[in-house]
Parts: sequence; C-alpha cells; structure tokens
Amino acid sequence: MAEATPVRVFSRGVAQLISPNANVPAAEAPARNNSPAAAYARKQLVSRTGALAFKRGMISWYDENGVHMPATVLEIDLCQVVGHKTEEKHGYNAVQVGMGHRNKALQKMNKSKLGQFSAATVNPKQAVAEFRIRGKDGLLPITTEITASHFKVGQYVDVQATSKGKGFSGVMKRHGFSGLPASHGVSLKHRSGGTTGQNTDPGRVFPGRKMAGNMGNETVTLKNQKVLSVDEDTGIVIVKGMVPGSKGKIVKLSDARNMYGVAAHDVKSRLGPLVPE
Amino acid sequence: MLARLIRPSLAAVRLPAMQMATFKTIKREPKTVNIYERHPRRLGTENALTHVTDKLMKQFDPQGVKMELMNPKSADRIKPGDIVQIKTTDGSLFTGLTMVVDFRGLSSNLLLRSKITKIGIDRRFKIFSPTVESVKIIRRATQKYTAERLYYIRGHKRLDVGDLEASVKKAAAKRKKFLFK
Repeated sequence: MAEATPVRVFSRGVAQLISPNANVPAAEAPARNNSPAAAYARKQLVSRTGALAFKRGMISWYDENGVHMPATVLEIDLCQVVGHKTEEKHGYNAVQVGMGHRNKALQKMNKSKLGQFSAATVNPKQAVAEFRIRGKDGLLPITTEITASHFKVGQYVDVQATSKGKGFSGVMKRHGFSGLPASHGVSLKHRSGGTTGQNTDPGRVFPGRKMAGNMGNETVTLKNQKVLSVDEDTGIVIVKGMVPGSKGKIVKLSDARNMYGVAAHDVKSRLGPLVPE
Repeated sequence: MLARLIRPSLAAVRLPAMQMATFKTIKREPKTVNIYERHPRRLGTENALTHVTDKLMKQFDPQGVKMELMNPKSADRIKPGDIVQIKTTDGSLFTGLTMVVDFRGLSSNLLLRSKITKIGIDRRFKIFSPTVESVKIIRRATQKYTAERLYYIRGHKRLDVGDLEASVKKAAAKRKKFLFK
C-alpha cells in the first residue's frame, strides 16, 4: 500500500506560502503535558512521611544570639503508621498516620473504623491523616512509631491545620473593607460594604464579589516554618511562628515542599538540605 | 371464584419438607475486633506548655534571681519609678528609670528611660533573654506615682529624667571621695 499523502485543502483567494501540491511531512506530535505521568513529575512531593501533632500553645523563644521570637509548642503523642496506599491499588503512594488515643468516644466509633486499627494492631487513634510521598522507599512498616526526632532542629516544615472559626462575619472583618463614614449623614450603615455592582446593565452581581459570610474554620497551610527544638523523650516539637487553630487541635507536620518567599540575603542559608544530617 | 381457581395450583408447587432443608444458609462467625491499649503518654499527666516554659526558665534563670525581681508577688520586685542598671553580655551598661514593668512569663520586660547627650531614650529589655547578664536596682522610687505605667513623664518639666548614667557615676565618685577622707 502506498503511503498516505497529507490532505491539503486548497482555498481560493487565500495567500499560501507552500504550494498546495507540495508533499509536506506531518510534524511530530509534541510531548503531552496533561498526562498522569507528567502531572506526577510536576508534583512537589517529599520522599518521606510527616507526622501529626497536638497544638499546645505559644511561648517566647530566644536563640543563641538572644534574639526573641514567637514559637509554638507541638506535642507528638503516639504517632504511628496505620496503613499504606500504593500506586498499584490506589493510584498513588501514601502513608496513613494516626495519632493520639480514642478513649471516651470509643463506643461512638463504628466497627469498620475500629477494624482498621485492629488489623494494623494499633490502638484506636484520635486522628488519621495521609501523607503522599514520591516513590515507595518512604512506606514505613505499619505500627512504626514516628517520634519527635523524625524532625531535626534547623529544618523547615510545612504546617497544616484548621483555623479558628469566626462565624458569620461582616466585610470589614472578613475582607478588610473600610466601611462607610462615621458621620456626614450616614445612618445604620457604618460597617456596610457599600455597593455590590451596577444598575440594570448587567442587572446582576458578578460572581466572586466579596461579601459577608462564614469566616475561618478552613484548612490553612503555613509553609517553611523553622523547627527550633525537638525532644524525643517528651515528644515536643517547637516550631517558629504561629500555627493555625486553637490549643489542643490537631496539626499536620511535614517536610517543607517548596522554599519560595525567601528573602534574597537568606537564600544561601535556607537552601541547604531540608533535613540536616 | 378467583380464590378457588388459584388454590389448587399453589398446593402443587409446595415442596416436601425434606427437599426444603437442602437450602440451608451457612452461618458466618462474627469478625472479632481487637481493641489495643495505648502506650502511656511520654509526658505523663504533665502539661506540655508548662513543661517547656519551666525548662526554659531554669535554663535562662537558674538561681531565680530575675524571677524575684520581676514577679509581682515578690517583695523585692522592681516597681515603676525605680532606677535600674542592666548589664548585657556584650559588656555595655544601661541605666534608666523604670517606666513599665511587664510580667508575662519568658517575655517579661522592663521599659527604661534615660537621657544621653540631652536626647531622651526609651529602651525595652526582655529580662529573661540570655543577653541580659545582670539586673541591679540602683535607687528605689523617690516619690509616689499614682500610675502603673509612667508614659506621662516623657517631656515633663519636673518628672522627666536627666542623664542618669552620668548622675550615677557622679554619685559613686562622691561616695569614694567621702570614704577616702
């Protein structure tokens, strides 16, 4: 069978650089960017699991030069590997980690959940989370305890938690609007957001307009928080800066995935190994 | 009429008792769920936050000297109006009148005011910071202040401080002279 010549449609009156009779070889298809493999390669993943911790509160911290900084005390209490997710079975590799203990609410937990802990031969955990990892080397054996020494002093971590709920709040609190003037004839509208749009045309409010609504109680991730102190005996990890959420709430700690937002003078010191030896 | 017609057909379908017994369902034993007990908490019943603050307090103030000066419950505490001299680890001294005593755990601080080359200077010292080597009360307040925070002395004709460092030195020199005589 003869090779199929590419079909070229000749349209009269349109200027063409190539003669309609020329035999032009078909161009090679460029590499696809939207494949699952390409997406996986693009993803920022670390090779090892993180840990769960309780937020215990904030303290003042002095470094070796006497510089004062705010810091948050986190406690890792009985954090264990509870399960795995593998590429073959679930489509991605992840470590399931549980922390804490369910004592009072044990009866409220359904049997299927209790069965998972039973199969993993660990105590019923207060919280379970997944840490997606690159490759399979980081799939620690089930029941492995992740202690505070999993993290090293000087390394950077990403901290994820649910922020404090503020309820249904107005635009001044929620979006930082200025409100309306205090005087000059303004009545009962001092904390109002003002207008939400135009008139008959378009005759509707555009999507995305900032309005009053529920504030807080959402997942917040803080990136590149420095680890100041680690104590394996007590399970205490101290992280520089604030951590979202109230005291006693559960926090997800993992190695820093990206190091952007770093001041230029500090890049060199920050771009060292994420986990110092 | 209709019921009579159906009845005989039902009787024909009914199976003898022996045959029905063959469709016995298998009884599954219920899955057992083991509930494992937890290991004891590493900190026991101790509060994590107080554990950390106590540890750091011991590190930064092993003898409890700074605590004695800052704690509002102690008798020898620093009060607003006292003249205090602070020595830092780099060897420098600062003498000033206490405007504010802020007791708040590890970040407890003093706001001191003095004048250097006729310019008023306010400096805040975090007392438990490792850079603060020593805190010394040089002179107790000479008058009674009604307020806890003496911000109002700034630029005041009568109440504002002078060069405290120089006056302290002068007083020391005077004392020396007196002793040698």
